Parts: sequence; structure tokens; C-alpha cells
Amino acid sequence: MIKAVEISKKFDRKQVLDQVGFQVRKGTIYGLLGSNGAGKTTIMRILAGILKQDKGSVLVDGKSVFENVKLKQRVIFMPDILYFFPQYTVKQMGQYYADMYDNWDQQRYDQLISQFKLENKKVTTFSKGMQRQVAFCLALAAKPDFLIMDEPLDGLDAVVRQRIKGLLINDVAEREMTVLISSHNLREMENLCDDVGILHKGKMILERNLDDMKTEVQKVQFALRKGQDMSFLEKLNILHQEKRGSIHLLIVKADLQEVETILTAQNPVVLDMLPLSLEEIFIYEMGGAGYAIENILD
Amino acid sequence: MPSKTSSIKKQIILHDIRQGGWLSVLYFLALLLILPLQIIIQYSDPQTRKYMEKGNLFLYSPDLQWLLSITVPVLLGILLLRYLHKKQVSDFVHSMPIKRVSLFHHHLIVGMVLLIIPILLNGLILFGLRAFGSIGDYFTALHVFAWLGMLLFLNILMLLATVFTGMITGMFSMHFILTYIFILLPAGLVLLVLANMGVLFVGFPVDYYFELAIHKFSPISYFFVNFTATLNLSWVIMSAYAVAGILLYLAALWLYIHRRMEATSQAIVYPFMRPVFRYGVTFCFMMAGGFYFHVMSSSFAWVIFGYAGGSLIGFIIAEAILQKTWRIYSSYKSYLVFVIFLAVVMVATNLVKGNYDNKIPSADAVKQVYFGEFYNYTGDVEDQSIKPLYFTDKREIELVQKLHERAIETPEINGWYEGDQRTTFIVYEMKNGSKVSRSYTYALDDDPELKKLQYEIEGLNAYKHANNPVFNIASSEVYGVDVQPNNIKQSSTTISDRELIDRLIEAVRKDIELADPQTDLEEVRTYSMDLLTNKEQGYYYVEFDDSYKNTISVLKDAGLYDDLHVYPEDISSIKLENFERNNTMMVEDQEDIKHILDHAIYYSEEEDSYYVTFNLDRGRSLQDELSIEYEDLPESIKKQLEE
Repeated sequence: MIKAVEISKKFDRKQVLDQVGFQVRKGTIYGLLGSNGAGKTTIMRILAGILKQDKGSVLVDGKSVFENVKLKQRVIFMPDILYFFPQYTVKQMGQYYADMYDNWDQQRYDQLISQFKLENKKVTTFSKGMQRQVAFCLALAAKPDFLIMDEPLDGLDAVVRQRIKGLLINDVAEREMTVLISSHNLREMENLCDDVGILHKGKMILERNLDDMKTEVQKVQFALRKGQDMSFLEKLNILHQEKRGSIHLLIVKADLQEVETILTAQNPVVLDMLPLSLEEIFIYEMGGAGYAIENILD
Repeated sequence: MPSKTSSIKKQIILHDIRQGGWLSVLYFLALLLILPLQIIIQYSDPQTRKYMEKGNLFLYSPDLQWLLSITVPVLLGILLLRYLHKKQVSDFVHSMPIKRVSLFHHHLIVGMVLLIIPILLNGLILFGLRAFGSIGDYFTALHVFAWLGMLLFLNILMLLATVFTGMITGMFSMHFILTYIFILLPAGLVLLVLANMGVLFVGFPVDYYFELAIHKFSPISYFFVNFTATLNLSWVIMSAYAVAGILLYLAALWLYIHRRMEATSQAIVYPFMRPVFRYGVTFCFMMAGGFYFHVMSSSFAWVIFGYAGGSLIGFIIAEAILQKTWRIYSSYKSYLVFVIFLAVVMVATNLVKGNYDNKIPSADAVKQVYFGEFYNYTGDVEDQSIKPLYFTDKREIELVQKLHERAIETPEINGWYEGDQRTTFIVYEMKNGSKVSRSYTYALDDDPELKKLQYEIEGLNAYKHANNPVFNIASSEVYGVDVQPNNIKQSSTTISDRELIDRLIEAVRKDIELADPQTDLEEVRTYSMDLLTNKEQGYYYVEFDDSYKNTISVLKDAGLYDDLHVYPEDISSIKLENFERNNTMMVEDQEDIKHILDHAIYYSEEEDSYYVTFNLDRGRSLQDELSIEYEDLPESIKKQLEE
């Protein structure tokens, strides 16, 4: 489990993190969302043991990461801008990791490399997307218990992205790997994360479990006969309501069963339960603040 | 879970070798060329072998050895610590499961090994060379060990300094600059401070402190001076460097452990050091600026301008480096802080200044006083012929004090001054053991009182004895004397008769004692003698003229005078030339020759003066050295020239 408690960090005089706290449960994927400069990278660099927070505590499995070699053996940090030693080939990078990480699985590395069809060339000569794949191979072959990735899916084509997501989910499921992933793209996180936290200007403004969220908020459209009594709507916690012709569109905070029961009782002419995107949930649920989120997440 | 791998990370070592190994190889080759190969080449050619000296290994291109020793370790250190100076690399390395202490030692040890191997290999080759024929005669095994020791010492010290500065900075480019600034700083700072004390305080004896051997304060200058055939190392200095090396190591390690990686790519990583850097640079530039203008002009207003301009430039540079932009207007407050600090220092300086400038210790408290043109406090003078002069007599001490008093009043001469001037170094050694030292450079012509005092001191036998070599060598040490006329005649006589030598030396001593310091030697018709000795110096030079009655008399008795003295009859003709006017004439009239001989002077800058060349039966005078001013020419010749 990763647990950050009220961490604050200043770069010179600039407050980069202001009492940020969150938890990543073991074997889950946590999405850290926020625009550029929100402090996501700083959090990750602290978690990776590169930086030291000014205040608060960062615990991985109950222990502090900074200068803790034993713990760092189990943590891999993949930065947004990847670094490979110049002149090092795919194989040599593997050797470097093998020397560093006790859990290194050479067989898995070779297998992943061939799966991604990566040649044994100097890594720095590869395209950005291919370099990202090498980084994933290195990270996964080191078999970390904690994988921290800063904007890992940026610049990848859809096929590779899907494949990587699959590998991640697989490791999470099989080895109970704990993943912290940052992104400025909410849509990308939607079917990957268990939990998300939104960071804005160094503060955590929202933290949610996605499954809960999806079951909590419903989007429904219906049409009633003319003149029918609409007072039943008062029973519902409506986040958003609009009318297009005779069709009513509702975003309701309630579970699916409840909404369906109430609406069916009105004998609607049309009744459709519609899929809700994560983005919509955020926007509708949070009202004014939601629009702020929309701005944050481009 | 016990760690499978050992704490020695093969891959880090491998990576370091990939980074810096090439430099190590080049270093090996360079040293190979400078030492073993150079020795072999010199030895194999009988021509050059003749000139080969026996001695230590700093006989062979010591400058190159020094240059390599102060650059290779720095470059290597920069290469090995480059990972600290780029965010991506720094993040990558520091996210790895390895402690900083361990990383530090990996890099430091690899760095040391990469420096040691090329040096050690060359040492082994040198040992090997000794086995071949008589090459071994030229240097001993001890010389090789001394060479190894010196080179390894300096190289490792330089590496440690580079590692230390690497921890301070977060920028690759700054690492290089900062390293050299840091290593030269102790010497440079002392130098600048002393030079500026000389600017601010009247009579501050800058040279006196230069005798402290400022070069010792930086290994760069210290080893430059000491990479010589005669190794003359001070154990105190070497121990100080060794301690400094250990402290640098500890400090670097401590700094690394506490380094904040978010400051990577900052010029100075540790915030508390930024003001030190900012004001340090400002201060140094200020002092350099002030001193520059002091040298360029003697006006104090310009010196103030130099301080203001220098400090502003220094501040802008330091601030631009720290902020990595030239747009630094907003930090003008920091500069104001400096200006205020400076104003306080200046006021304080002024309070002390009057006291310092005018301080002349009371004669009763003075045990003895040194008086001379310069001061050598170590007493380790190369030229043994000039003895330090100390006055102990109260009357003499008071004389020096009177001169000192006048010297304080007299404006200091800076730069070029045509006329009679003196640099005087006075060191009062007090009865309580303390010293008061001052030095002044002044013109004698503007102040008759000062001139009188100066000549009075210079007329003292004690002064003459101390400053004339002929008093400071036993005449028994002189095995021969070469006597020759200067300027016109070319003849030389070597006297080797013991008795004559003794008489001559005695006569010269007497004449010098009798000589009035106010009268100079004759301009052209002077003679000189070289006192030949077996001492290191070789010979001592004494110049004299016809006013040295006793000397001349001894020479006359020995029948040597006629060879020295130029009689008008010796001269067959004189050539007068003025190139400006394209005017040349020959003078053969005896009257005219005598007149010209009496009026000839050394090279004159006057446009209407004539070059004078004397043609003698034996040889002729050197051209372009002697002149005669137009008005000194005989009337008859003036007439002829005008035609």
C-alpha cells in the first residue's frame, strides 16, 4: 500500500505540494489527474525516493522510501521524459537493471522484448513510442511491487497502448502489483483505474473510487405523455436536467435500481439508461467546480 | 529479504568506465610521450644524450606534467558526476535501489582508479627502463617513487576538489568553472585583498606579504612552482593539502547525502551557498576593478569608479548565473545590501586608515629597523651579495623615522616616472617582538628635505656595505677580476695576481665609502670589474669611474689604466649621425674629438641630438648607444652640419 499523508514541498519559494494526501490500495491502479504544473510529477519523484518532502510522510508498505534500498528494490519509477544511457542497447539496459534489481526476470525481459518486436539496438536511436515500450519491458521484468508511472501512455499509438494496458492489468491481477499512474487525460484513465485523485495547483481537490462513482450517478432519458405530473422528480437527487422537445435528460445521483423503479412507475413512453463517461460524472457531480475540472483536464 | 546482489554494482563501474575510460587511456598515452618515450628518444641519440641531466623526473616537460595533472582529474570528475547535473539522468540514477553513499564511493573510486592506472603504468615502465643499459644512470628508483607520489597526490587532490564542487553545483558548465574558481580561490582572494590594501593604505607593504608565498595557498600554483628538478616540498604545506583533501571528501559526501535533487540544473544547489557565491563574486570583481583602475590611473576617484563598476559587473554576472537569465532587475535589493555592507566597511577602513597611514613607532620601542629597497623576510636571498640592512643605532633609527615621516607626506608614484625615485622598505622590529612594516615609492626631486634624508642614509657606511656586493664577499673568495672599460673602448684584462686582487678590492671598498651618493657616475666613460668567484652566482659586478681615486691609482700602478681610459688620441675619428635629418658627418679634428668625448651621453631622445660612434685604433664604440645633444656640439661642427 502507498500512503501519502499531508505532504508539502517547496521548490525554493514556490509551494509545489500543499498537504497532499492519498492512498493506493494494494493491487489497485490509482490515477493521479491534473494539468501541467499541478504537482503530479513531484509526488511521483517523492514516491520514487528521488526527492524528499518538506513536511508530511510518504509510506510504501509502512516505510519511508527515501534512501531505503530494500524498499526501492520493489519500486520502479517511469518518468514522463524517459532516460536511457546513450550508447546502451536494449540488452545492455537490461543488464544494468539486472544488476540493480534483485527480482529481475531475464526470461520475462527477453519475452517482452520479442513480444514488442524490439531489435537489440541503441535505445536512444528508437522513436519515442518504442523507447516507451523498452521502458515498460524494463519495468515489468524487474517485477516491482510498486510501479509509478508519469504520463506513461503519452505518444503511444492505440494498439501499443492497449497492449501495455493489458500487461499492466495482468500484473496487477496476477502479482497484486500496486500502480500509481499520472495523466492529464481523464478519458484515458477511465477503464484502467480503480481510484482517481485530482490534483490542482499542489492540492488534492478530489479523490474517488471509480466503481462507486459509476454506480452512484446515472444518466437517463425519458419521455412522458403530455400534461403528466412531474412532481415525482422531487424524490430524485438531480445533478443536471435538460429538455429536448418531449425528451427529458437527467443526471441523477442514485443507484440504478432506484432510478429505474421511480421512472417505470410513471409509465414513460421512452426510457433509456445511458452510459456515463467519467468526465461527465465529474462535471455534473461537482457543478461549478466540475467546470473547473474540465478546464484542468484539457 | 536478503539482497541477492552485492553492494558493489558492476554496472555502475562499467558505466563509469564507459564515460571516463577514454580519458584514462589518453592520459596514459600523454604521460608515456612525456616521460618514458622522451627519455628513450633523448637517450638513443648521442647528440641529445650529452645534454641529458641526471636527476628526478620533473626534468622532463614539467609544465606539461603539471598541466595534465590539473586538467585530467577535473575533466574526469566532471564526466563521472555529469549524472548529477541533468534532471533526467539524476532522476533515473536516484530512483535506482542504491544509496547515495554507495553511488558516491562507486564514482570516486572508479575516478581514482582511472587516474591511478595511467600514472602507475608509466611508473612501472620507468622502472622497467632502468633495467636497460645506462638509462638507469639518469634517474633512480627513488626518483620514480617521488614522481609517482607527487603525481598521484596532486591528481587525487584535484579529483576530490572536483567532486566537491560537483556536489555544490547542479550545472554541467558551472562545474568546470566553479572547480577552478574554488581551487584558485584561497590564493586569488589573498592576492586581491593584499593588492587592495596597498591601494587603500599609504605605505602598505604589499610585497612584504607576497613574500608569504601566496602560491602555496592553491595546489595549482604550488605544484606549478614545485614541479622542478629540485623537489623542494614543504611538509607543512603537503600535510595541509592532505587534510584539505580529506575534508573535501567528507564535505562532498555530506553534501551529496543532503543534496536536494530538485535543484539539479541550478547553478548552486544549496540555497545557503547562493549568497556566498553572489557576494563572493561581487566582492572579487569589485577588488579587481578597483585595483585595475589604481594601476591605470593614480586618481582615487577612478579607484572608486573601479570598485563601483567592478562590483556591479560582478553582481550582474553572479546573479545572471544564479537565475540563469539576464533579466535580474528585480534583485537590485541584493545589490543594495552589498553596497550598504561596503559602505560600512569603507567607513571602518577610513577610521583605521589615519592610524595606519601615519603610524611611526617611537624610537625607544624599536629594537632595530630594516631599511632597503625590498624586503625578504625569509632571509633566503638568492643573491647573497646584498645583505639585509638593519639599523640598531638610535641616531640612525631616528634618521629612518624622519625619512619615513617625509615619505608619508610625499605622494606615491604609480607607474612611469622619469627622474630620481626610490622604493623604500622599512620594517621596524619592536622590542616586544612585533613588527611594523611599510613600503613607499616616491620621487626625490619634488622634495628637497626627503632627498636630503635619503642621501644621508645612503651615505652611511652601513648602507653602502649592505648594498654593494664588494663588501659582502671575502676577497679570498675572488680568484680573478676582469676589468674592462664600458661603452667606447673594447678591452678586457683579467687580473689573477692574489696580491693585486686584494689591493684592488680594498681600494674599491674605500672608494665606495668615500663616494657621495648625490653624485652619479660619469655618464659615458665608466669602467667595470667582474669579481670572479666559485660561488653559485659566479661573478659580482662593480662599476666605477675616474672619481674612484684609490681604485684608479691601483690600476695605474699595475699599468692597467691606459687600457681602460679613453684618451682623445685613441680616437681616430668620430661619426655623427642624425637619421631624422638624414645628416651624417665624420669628425677628425683632435680638438673636436676631445670636446665630443667630454660631452657624449647615453642614448638621447632629443630629435636634434646626434648618434656618436667613436672609431678607435682598437675597435669602435657600439652604434646607436651614445649620443650628443645638438647644443653640446662644438661650434665649428654645428656650422658644418647646418650647411
